Amino acid sequence: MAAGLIDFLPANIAQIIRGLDNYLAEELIEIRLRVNQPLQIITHYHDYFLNKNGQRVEKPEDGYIVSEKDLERAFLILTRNSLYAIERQLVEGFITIPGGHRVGFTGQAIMENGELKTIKNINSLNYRLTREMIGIAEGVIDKIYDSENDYIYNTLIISPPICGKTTLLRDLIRLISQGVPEIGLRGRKIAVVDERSEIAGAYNGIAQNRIGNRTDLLDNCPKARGMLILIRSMSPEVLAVDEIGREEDVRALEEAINAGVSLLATVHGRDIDSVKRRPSIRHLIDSNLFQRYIILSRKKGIGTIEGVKDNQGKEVV
Amino acid sequence: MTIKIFGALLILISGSSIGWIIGTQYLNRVKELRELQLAINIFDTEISYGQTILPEALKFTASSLNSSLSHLFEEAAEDLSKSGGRTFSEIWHDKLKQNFHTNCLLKEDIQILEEWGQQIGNSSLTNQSKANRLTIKRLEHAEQRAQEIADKRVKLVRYSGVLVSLMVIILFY
Repeated sequence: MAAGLIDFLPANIAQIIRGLDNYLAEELIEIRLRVNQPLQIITHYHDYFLNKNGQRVEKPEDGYIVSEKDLERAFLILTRNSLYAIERQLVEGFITIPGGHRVGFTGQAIMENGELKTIKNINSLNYRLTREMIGIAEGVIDKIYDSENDYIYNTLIISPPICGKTTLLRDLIRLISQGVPEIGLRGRKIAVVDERSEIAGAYNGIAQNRIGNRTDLLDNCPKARGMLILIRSMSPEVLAVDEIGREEDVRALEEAINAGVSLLATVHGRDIDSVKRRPSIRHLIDSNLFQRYIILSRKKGIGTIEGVKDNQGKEVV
Repeated sequence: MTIKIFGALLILISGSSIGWIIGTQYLNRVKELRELQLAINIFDTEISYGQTILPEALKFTASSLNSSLSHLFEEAAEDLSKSGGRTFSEIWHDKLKQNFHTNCLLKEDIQILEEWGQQIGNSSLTNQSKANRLTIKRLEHAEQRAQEIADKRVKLVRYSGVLVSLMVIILFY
C-alpha cells in the first residue's frame, strides 16, 4: 500500500490502517476522517467503517470514532507542523504530500472582504491515494497516434469522477515522453500544466510520479496561463492539461493548436453528448479541434476504456 | 604530617571547586536564558521571512547557537523530519525532558519553553510571531531574575566552598 501516506497519518490511525487485510489495502482509494464519526475507507466498489483493529464493521457505531483531537493532530502532521508556511495554500482546500497523494479538507471558512481567507477548525479529512498505473495507457496509445504522418492527435479524455482519467492522462504523458518504439512513436517534448498537482503529484514542485524523461512540468499554475507560458517558454511538441472547462481554458487550447502543438486534455462527463452540453466545450468539439475522444467508465473497474472515437463519432480500431 | 597537609589541601581544593561549580551554574543559567532569546529571535525571522518549514527552521536555529542548547533544537528538528505521526509539541516535550540535565535551566524556564512548543506550527504566521515575541519577553524576565539571583549567590556559594572546606580542615585537626 501507499507507504508515503501512512507517515502522514496520526500514529493511532496509521496503526488501524496497517491492520487492514491485504485485499482492502490493495483496493483502498480513500481514507476519511470526520469528527465524531467512525473511521471510513473507500475502495473501488464499496465503503467500509473500521474498528480500532482495522476490521470492517457493519454498524457505524461499532467503528473507531474519530475524535476532535485525532483530527487536530492529523492536520498538524499533514502540514508538517508548519501551518504558517502553507497558509495561502489552505484556501485551495487540499494539501499534496510526497507520493502525490492529496488530502482534501473541510472546516470553518474564514472570509475577508468577500474572499476566502483560510479554513480553520478542520472537521473532515479525505486522504486520496494516488496510484500510478504504469502501462494503463498502452492499449490506447496506438489509437491516438498516426504513425504514417508521425502525428499525435489532439485527444480529449472524457470520464466521470474516479474513473481514472488523471491516471490515464499521466500514463499517456509518460508513454509519449519516453516514446513507444513498437509503434514507431519517438519520444516527444511534452509540457504539462498541473493546476492541482494531480498529474505529477509534485511535492515542492518536483514530480513524484513517473511522467517521462522529456516532460516539463509547470506545477500549481492556472491552466490557461500555464499553457500560454509553456508554449512560449518550453517549445513543447505536446501539451497536456487536466480538467478543462472554463472559457479561458478553451481560448488557451485554441492558441496552442494554432501554435502547432498536439493536445492532451481531460474533461468531466459521461460521453461526447453530455460534454457538449457545456457551451465552451461544445464550441471546441464542433470546431473539430479534437481528433480523438477516449471515453472512460468504471464498468470493469477504474480505468475501463469504453471506447476511442474520432471526430466523426466513429470507433477507432 | 605530609599526609595531613596533603589531605587538607585535597579538602580545600575539592570544597572550593564544588563552590565554584555551583556558582558557575547560576551564571550559566543566565547565559542560556539569553541564548534562548536569541534562538527564538532567529527562529522567528526564519519563519517570517523565509516561511521555512518547521524542521528546517529549527535546524537553522540550532546551527546559529553554540551552547549545549543547540542539541535541543537539532534533535527536535531531526525527530520532526521523521515525524512518524507525532506533532511538534509532543516531540518538543520529550526533547526538553531528555535534555533537562544537559543544561542549567530550571523547571520554571523549561515551562516557558514547553508553552512555546505548544503554540508553534499550528497557527498563522501572525500568531506564530506573537507567540515568539511573548516567549522572548518571558525569557527576558526570567533572565533578569536569574541575574539577580546570580548576583546574590555566586560569590556567596564560592566563598562558602572555601570556608566550609577550611572549617572541615580545622575540625579534623
